Amino acid sequence: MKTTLDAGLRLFVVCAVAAGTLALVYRGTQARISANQAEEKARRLRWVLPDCPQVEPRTTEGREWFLGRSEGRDCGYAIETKAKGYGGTLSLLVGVSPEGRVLGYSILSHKETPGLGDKAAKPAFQAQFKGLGLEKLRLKKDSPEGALDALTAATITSRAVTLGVREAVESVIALRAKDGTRP
Amino acid sequence: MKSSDWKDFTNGIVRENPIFRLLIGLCPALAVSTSAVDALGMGLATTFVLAASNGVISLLRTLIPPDLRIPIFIVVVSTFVTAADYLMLAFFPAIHRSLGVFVPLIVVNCIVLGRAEAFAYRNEVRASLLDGLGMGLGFSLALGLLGALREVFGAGTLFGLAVMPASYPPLLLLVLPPGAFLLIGLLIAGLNRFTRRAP
Repeated sequence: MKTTLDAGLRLFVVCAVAAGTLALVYRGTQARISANQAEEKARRLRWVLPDCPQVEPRTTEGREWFLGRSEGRDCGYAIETKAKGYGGTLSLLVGVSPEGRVLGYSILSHKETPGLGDKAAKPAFQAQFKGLGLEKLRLKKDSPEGALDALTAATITSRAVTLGVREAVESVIALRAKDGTRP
Repeated sequence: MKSSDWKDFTNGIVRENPIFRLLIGLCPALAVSTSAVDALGMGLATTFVLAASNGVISLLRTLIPPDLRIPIFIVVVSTFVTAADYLMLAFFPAIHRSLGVFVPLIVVNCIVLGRAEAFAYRNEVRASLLDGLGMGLGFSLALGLLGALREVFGAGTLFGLAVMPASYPPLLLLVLPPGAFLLIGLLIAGLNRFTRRAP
């Protein structure tokens, strides 16, 4: 009995000190972690909506999106989409112009192969998407109208990014139709 | 500095290098050594955890009853791993993003628990701190070497800067998991060739 109590007490003290230490570290770093995350988000939004100095968060039917404004006009929309990649879910933030053309995208998280699929985040692959509308947003090898070259040895990743971007363009078109104030 | 201090410190770097000699902690070594930056980030985070947990466990060793030592080691180690996770998120978000789940997984790196059990629980604080630092640096050096070789030959860059001529075709195999196994085997074989005396 005595040794059980003693053991329990020792474990309790160690755990209490550990919890206290972690609480202190958490308090000391939390402000900076949130600031980092906010800055990261702002950086991505600037990347996908390069010509929009102001970006306002919006929610329509439970889905979050961002409206980019420039000199009192709507200059772009940004929305998050997910697609099934080679290693798991790919999540993207896609910028779309009011005409329904791709402005840019940023990969929020992915599990693609290092050295092959992760090249989808590189500017060389991204640049192909700029200015494309729905009709051309296909891989060349999948459709005669497609304008996109797949990454070498990463067709599944390339297709996933293409689908994710398509989905974003379609969502933006649908959102604009629903959001009555903005025909 | 006493000569035994130096011995404790260098033990993990050369004689009992975790990766090349003890062959423990190979999971993170294979998984996050695709680039030099990731490898060094992982190495330094592990060094922090190793030195800190070795120090604390050695400090508490007279208060830890033998049959409770494993749960207490785990609490101490996981506290430092979580602290390292928060600190990296706050101060090195880019490295944290590319290491991802492998930062919290330092807790199951067998070097950390191994040194707590084999060294810190039986030695003084000073020696344990030095052992933790040495083991961590040995791990970092091994990881850094693997990361640098995989990045240079597998992607043609080092720390993200192009180091190979543009005509060099990157040897993709090296950035993929099998490349890590092959390279680590070759490195161990090479080291043995030069350090082991002929029988």
